[in-house]
This record gives sequence, structure tokens and C-alpha cells, in this order.
Amino acid sequence: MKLLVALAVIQTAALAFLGFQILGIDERADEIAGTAAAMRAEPAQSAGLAAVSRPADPFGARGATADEIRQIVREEIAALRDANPAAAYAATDDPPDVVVEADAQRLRESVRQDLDAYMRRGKIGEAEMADLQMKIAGLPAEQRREMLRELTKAMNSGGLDARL
Amino acid sequence: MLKPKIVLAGLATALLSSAAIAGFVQPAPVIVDTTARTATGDQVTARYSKNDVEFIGCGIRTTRTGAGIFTFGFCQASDAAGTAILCSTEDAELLDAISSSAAFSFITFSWNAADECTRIGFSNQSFYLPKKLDSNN
Repeated sequence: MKLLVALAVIQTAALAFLGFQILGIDERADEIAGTAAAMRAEPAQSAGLAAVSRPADPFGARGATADEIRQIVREEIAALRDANPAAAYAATDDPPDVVVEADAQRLRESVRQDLDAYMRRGKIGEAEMADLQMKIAGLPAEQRREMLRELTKAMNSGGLDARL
Repeated sequence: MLKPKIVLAGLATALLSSAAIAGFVQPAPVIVDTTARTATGDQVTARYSKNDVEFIGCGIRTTRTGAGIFTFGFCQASDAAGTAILCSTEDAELLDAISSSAAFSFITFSWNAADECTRIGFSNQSFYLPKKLDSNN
């Protein structure tokens, strides 16, 4: 009987101890939440007018969830792309320089093919010369110079009757 | 019958009056030197030469596209022997030189191994002008 009473007293003491511990944890949690809220409120108060114009924190004291953070990041990236289209090229896309280089190569080949065709024919008409010059005009500077040299050489060789 | 002295006087007057409106003339037929890579000649002499191959001149072509403006200049010449040359350039200062040309100019130009113009010169002097221009024959 005495044993049972002793055990009951011990159990009661243990329960009381646990209860006090839980109360203490709750108080600490409340203190932490209060401090965080105070830290968020402080910059707004110290900034004066800037704090007034700042939009209200949509998330409040609870903070943003993971999905909300992902959404915010997506919106920011989209805004960056709109502001700077060149930055929109992902690592898997060709950078602008490569695209321009490929186009220039194709145009250069087209000019060369046209020139070869005119040389096979032995002459180039005024309208054809104008078209050829239009194509040459679209080339980068060094390739433009190269094609102009080739045209000049072709005319000097006697293989291309042309009027300038 | 007219006296010989009067006839002689009349002839002398006619000759002198023609000479009085001549001025100094120094025609420059077209010469194309492919070794020195130089061509010279004045336009009037080339135009009124007795052959049908001699010519000399320069020009500019400008093309505007969406990619920008492409301008190139050229000079070309052919002498009486039929030796011909064409050189081209995109050099801005040579293009300026071509733009300074005028009608009846004396032209001189040089080129490199790639047939690019390296030197272009014009001279507009009275002695390059023709005595008279009354026929295209």
C-alpha cells in the first residue's frame, strides 16, 4: 500500500514537471514569434515614408511557403527575360553570336554560288548585279570585303562581262 | 584676180585667229601598267580616242539594306592595247577621293595583288579639256 502511494506521488510529480516544461516551451515560442514580427515591423517604421509606400507583406507573420517562393522566383525570372531578351537564352540554346555566324555563312555561300553561276554564263546583268550587291551588303565586314574582292577578280579575269 | 599678198594675208589671219583660242593642251592617253599596278589617263582623251577600247573612270555604289549601308568605290581603265583593270575599295578616304572627281578629269589610280584600290587621284586642269566638243565621232 505504501508502495502504491509512493508511486502515485512520483507520477504526479513527474506529470507536474512535464507540464511546467511544456508551459516554458510555449512561452519561448511566443517570444520568438513576437521577436520575428518585431524585426519585420522595425524597417518599415524606421524608413518613414518609404515604409508607407511599401506594399503590405502578403504573407504576414506566417512567412512564405515553398510553393509561394517558387512562384516568386518564376515571376522574377520572367521579368528579367522581358527586360533583357538576350539573357533569355538558356544554357541549351545557341547564343546570339552563333546564330548570326551561321546566317552569315549561309549568305556568303549564296553569294559565292551566284557569282559562280554568273561566271559560268559569262555575264551579269544590271539587275543581277544590284541583287548581288544587296546580298554582299548583308555580310559581316570581313566577308563583305572578301566577296567584293572575288567579284572584282572575276571581272578582271575576263570571265565575267559586267557593267559598273 | 586677187593679189597673192592679199590671199596670204587672209590665210595668216585665219590661222592666227584659230591659234588665239587654243590655250595649252596636254592630253593624257590611258596607260595601264600591270607591273607597277598603276593606271593613268584623262577622260576626254580616252573618250575621243580613235580606238574603241580606251576608257578610264571611277564610281561609287551604295546599297541600303536592313543590315546597314554598303558602299564601295571602283576605278577602271583600258588602254589602246586593250589592257584593262578594275579595282574596288570600301576605304572611306578613297571613297572621299572618288567623290571629289569631276567631269573631264585626269585620273590616276593604283591597286594591290587582290585588285583592291590603294591610291586614287584626280586632277582637273584646263589643259585636259578638249579643244572643242562638237561631235561624238
